[in-house]
Amino acid sequence: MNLSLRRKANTHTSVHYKKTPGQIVLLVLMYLSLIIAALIVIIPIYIIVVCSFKTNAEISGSNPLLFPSVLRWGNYFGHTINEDTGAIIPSAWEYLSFKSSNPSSMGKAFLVTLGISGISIILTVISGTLVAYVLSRFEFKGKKLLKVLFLVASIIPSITMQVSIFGLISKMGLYNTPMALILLYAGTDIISIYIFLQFLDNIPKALDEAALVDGCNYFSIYLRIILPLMKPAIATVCIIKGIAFYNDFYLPSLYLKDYYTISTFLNTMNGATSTEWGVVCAGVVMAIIPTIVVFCFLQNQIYSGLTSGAVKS
Amino acid sequence: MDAAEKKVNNKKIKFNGNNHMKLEKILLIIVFLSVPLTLLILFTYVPLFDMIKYSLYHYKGFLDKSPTLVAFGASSLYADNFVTIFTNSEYWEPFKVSLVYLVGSFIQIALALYFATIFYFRPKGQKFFKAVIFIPSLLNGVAISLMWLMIFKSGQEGGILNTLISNSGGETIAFFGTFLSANVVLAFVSVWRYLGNNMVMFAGTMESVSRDEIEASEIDGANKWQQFRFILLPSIKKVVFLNLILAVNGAVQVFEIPYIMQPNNYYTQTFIMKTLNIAFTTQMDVGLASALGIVMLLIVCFVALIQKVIEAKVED
Repeated sequence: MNLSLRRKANTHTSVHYKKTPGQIVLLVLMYLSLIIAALIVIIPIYIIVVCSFKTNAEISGSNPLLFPSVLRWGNYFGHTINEDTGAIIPSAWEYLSFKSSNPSSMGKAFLVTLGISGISIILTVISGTLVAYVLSRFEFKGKKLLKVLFLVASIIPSITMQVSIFGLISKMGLYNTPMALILLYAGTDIISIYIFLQFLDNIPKALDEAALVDGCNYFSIYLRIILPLMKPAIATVCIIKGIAFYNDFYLPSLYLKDYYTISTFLNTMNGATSTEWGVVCAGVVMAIIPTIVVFCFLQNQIYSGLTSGAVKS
Repeated sequence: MDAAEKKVNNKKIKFNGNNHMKLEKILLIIVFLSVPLTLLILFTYVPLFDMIKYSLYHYKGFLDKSPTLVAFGASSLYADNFVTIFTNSEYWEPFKVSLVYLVGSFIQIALALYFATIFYFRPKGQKFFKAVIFIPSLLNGVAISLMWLMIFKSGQEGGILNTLISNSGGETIAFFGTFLSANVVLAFVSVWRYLGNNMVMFAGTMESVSRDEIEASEIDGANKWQQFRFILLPSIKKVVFLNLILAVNGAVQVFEIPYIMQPNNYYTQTFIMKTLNIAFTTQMDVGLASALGIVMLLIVCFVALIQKVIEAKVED
């Protein structure tokens, strides 16, 4: 097919060296589409940053693309006073600190999110590498059944079973505990097992066998040979899961009542009777800053992690 | 011990010459698998069977989110919940909503292919453009939803777009006022969010195409479309197909964006929102919610089955 295509199109050979008008139009269209796409991403984010420094009146009364003359940092930290009613408007950071029953702040929400994500990632990596090691290196009765169990579980989306999972978590007495999230994150994750398995299949078995001859036992092979070699795959899983756990809203909104993660903390600002939208915007900005910082540092790892996670899923 | 295992072990046994390695191996398999397997069964298979069981009964409960299940007339098996779902058009509304998201996903995949192809040819500033288009897929979903809510809100609520429209003397638009416009807006937000994810996957897979091949085709006079159609697209056929299939599942499972932006809008109720409403807020009907969950699950499994069948056929 390629050959015939080449012969057919062989008439203008100078193409490579000199751009035809058609190619120039194509080039212009290409850059135009890139610029439009970039603007569609950047403009809304820019508007939110601008609004985060405004009062409600300024948001609805002024050009959304222009910063106000006085930047209202009170939307971010501390609090501001409503000039008409004299009521205290808490900032995004302190949003729930005036809540009577269970005061919270965005800082606390960051800590809760980081804690839950961190523990969940560690458990995911440990259990994923253990399963992958056993499945890739040993033959035993029931291995096929086990693989089928994991395969079926990877097809079933746990989001569809949330009603019965909720019942289970309640019966276990884990409702409204961070443990519920940790167990669900680490216990229903199949993708990382596949990432580890795929990676392990490319590590030659001769390595383990050599270590066996040298007198290593199976556990020390896992600890001293397999784990260090799997570092790239572990990094991939940490990145993919880290982003997913940090951003998750579904599980914390369902299982946590008194603990706020970043997602549920932000959502408490939504739908309040007198929403101060400048404060909401400040919250949005603070929630996405860490992600953008992490992205700047780990750009290439994130790209390749996503690609390797995509091929096997 | 089966033959395969013997084969694998023969070498090791020869080297070590002792049987305690075999015992150690069995012990290690049991220890290593015990916790992950327990979690797998506990959080996937137990809820699956629970859900099937609940769906067959008239179960009402989780009142005030307490752990007790109160059963009304749970003395015999019923298909009632399924009959309710299939005879009430109310429960079919989410299908229409899912269709809008599905169309959005197809547009998203087409755009992702387009941009991935552009990036393959390394345009100037590609690193910047790629990063910008990709970044939304990393951002917190609640933050994204609140951001777009702010922009698309009605005029009285001070929505940014409507403020701009009325400032320039136009008529404000109720973006969430009709079924189509509400869901198109939400699907747009979803495309905005996930486009970069698809794009990076496609671009990453395209990188496996050697640049020599593209250069050769260029010398032979192939244009960009021919290069895409005959060289780049075949290289990522599998990933594109997988993403098209996953788009169906994604469309059935939409939750976060409509739930945060329009939780109480009649037009924007998705399957998951409906299920949660039935189970926890409006009806407290665990049986009905479970039945709806099973309908969702069947759709997902059916799609997965089609995927496997087509993949097997292609490989033949």
